[in-house]
Amino acid sequence: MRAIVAIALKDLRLLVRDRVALFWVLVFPVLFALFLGTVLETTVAREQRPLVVAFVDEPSSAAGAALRQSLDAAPELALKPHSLSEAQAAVRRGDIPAYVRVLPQLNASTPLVELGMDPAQKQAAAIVANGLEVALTRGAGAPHSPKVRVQSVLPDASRPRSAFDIVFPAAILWGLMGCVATFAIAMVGERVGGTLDRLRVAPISSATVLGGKALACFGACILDSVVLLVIARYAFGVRPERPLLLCLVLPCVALCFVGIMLLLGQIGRTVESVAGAGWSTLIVLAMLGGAMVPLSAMPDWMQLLSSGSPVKWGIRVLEGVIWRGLSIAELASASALLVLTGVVTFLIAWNRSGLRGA
Amino acid sequence: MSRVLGDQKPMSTLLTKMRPTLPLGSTVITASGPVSAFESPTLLPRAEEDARVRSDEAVSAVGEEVALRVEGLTRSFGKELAVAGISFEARRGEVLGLLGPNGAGKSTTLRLLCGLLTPDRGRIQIGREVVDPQRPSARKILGFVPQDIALYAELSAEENLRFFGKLYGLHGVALRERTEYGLELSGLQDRRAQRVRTFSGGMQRRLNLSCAVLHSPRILLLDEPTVGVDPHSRNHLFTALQELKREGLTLIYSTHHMDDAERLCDRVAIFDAGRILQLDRPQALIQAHAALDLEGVFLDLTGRRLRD
Repeated sequence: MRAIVAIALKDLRLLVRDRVALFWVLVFPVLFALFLGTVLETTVAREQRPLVVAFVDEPSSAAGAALRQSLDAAPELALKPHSLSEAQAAVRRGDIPAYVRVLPQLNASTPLVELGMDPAQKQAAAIVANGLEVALTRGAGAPHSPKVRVQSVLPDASRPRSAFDIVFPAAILWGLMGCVATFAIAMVGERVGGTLDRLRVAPISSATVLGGKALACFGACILDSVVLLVIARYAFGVRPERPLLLCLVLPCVALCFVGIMLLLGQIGRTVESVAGAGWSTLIVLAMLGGAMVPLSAMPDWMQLLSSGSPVKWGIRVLEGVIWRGLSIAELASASALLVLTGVVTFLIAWNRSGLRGA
Repeated sequence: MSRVLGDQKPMSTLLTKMRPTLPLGSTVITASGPVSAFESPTLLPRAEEDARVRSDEAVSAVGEEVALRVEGLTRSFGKELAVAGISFEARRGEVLGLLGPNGAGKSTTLRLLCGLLTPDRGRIQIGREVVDPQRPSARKILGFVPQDIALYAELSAEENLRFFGKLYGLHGVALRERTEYGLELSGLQDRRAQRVRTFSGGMQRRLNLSCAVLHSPRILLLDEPTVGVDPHSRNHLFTALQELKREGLTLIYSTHHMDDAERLCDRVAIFDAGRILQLDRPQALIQAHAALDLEGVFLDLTGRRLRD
């Protein structure tokens, strides 16, 4: 019995001294509870918290002013005036769930209001639609509802074809994070195992060493994404809306994650520490970036924080080319941000690597 | 730095003939300016090379060719002085042993020599040229056998050799030939296709050595290459090292094993606290200290206090 207790105490002591294990045992569950709890609380409190909706009234009209007044009375909605192009772009990007546009009423059969909805935020858009119906009915003072034209903001109104269109961008990001973790762990494994020293004494520059690692990770990221897209196409019917643009944005996403891989490979001295710290970092980025729950389900402050996660921008550009049909101009800023993240993390990793000289 | 004046032959002929035969660091003066001998790897058979370069080698005080000269080499880690201004030279075809207790500065010295660390002070001369081992051109003439088994466990013996050969610019027939040489040197011809993770410690150690000599270095730095190997593999390693020595390779050999040093080394440098306490032939040291063996000399010089 004493031996059993001794073994148990020894194992517990080892657990307490293993910081990475402690993270997964204590810190991660708390983090996970905080994250999901906050998201669920936001969903529960959604009725009290107004949804931001773009309001378009071009040119300004009396009917528009009356509708605005009625909608302002709806507690579930918060209107923000926008031009039509701004409103459409914001909904297409998924920044807001819907826009309301006042249409000129030519005759009784003409729709009075256009509701532009983000297909990925149907629940939120339905709340907007309901509030709009109520406001219109109240404003008209009539028992019948005035007509509402529901407008898709996407070029192809049938998009997204299925829920798989929506989830596959996040799935690809998970694949890339797997590549990142694998390569970062392999990188520290080389350092610990001594093969990195062997590379460093070879007649090649340190940039070649780091470049070789980056190229391998880049290739794996691209290959992984292509394989996942093929699976998505043939098993789930996901067909990218902009295949040519996909060829442009995919390398941007891969480049970003290559930089992150190189940086994660420098944050620890042992394989275990890099594996633990690497995955915990990636999971936090995934949580914040919308790869676990949609950004629209998060509270405002969390959505603000999410802008710091490259996962958000990765999902945005992949959604943009897979089913949102965004143009190259609409994808440019997010793609540039991904490339910038890749370059900055690469430089930090280069600086920390010790490959510049020891 | 020595300079070899170009003759009247066409430039291409001159460079083709002379570059591989030049002593390390020597410079050919051509019509278009000097061309360093470091610019291309030397992969000719060593015996052929030996005869040609002999006249241009640096020579020691006793008239022997000096392959490596170290002067005032110093390196600190924070406040700790790991290598304290050591100076020594190794002659061509010599095995120079570095002996010392843990933390004496042997491994740091080797890491400075192969460019894994930058010295705070001091200079390293190979042949007649002062070199910076961190420059890729200098690394072509150095080989390093790390203390760890620095191999890719999921690659086969042949794949490991081919990979490291490619890093040193080998390709085509040369790569194939050197890979075969490496397999032969490590005694792994029959297991060339097997993954390294399936090998015994001794087999891995032998392959570890082969990977370091694929590019025909002139100086081979070995950091405790026989740790944890069985007597058979150890004997095989010694035979391989003696063969390399016969080919004219200069070996700098760091070890804890006194019998290794007595058996293999022409001279030994006994290190302690980052300094070389004595450097001489093993037998000369034994006689000078009236000791039974090198271990007696070692304990006499470094004391019996535990160091770690």
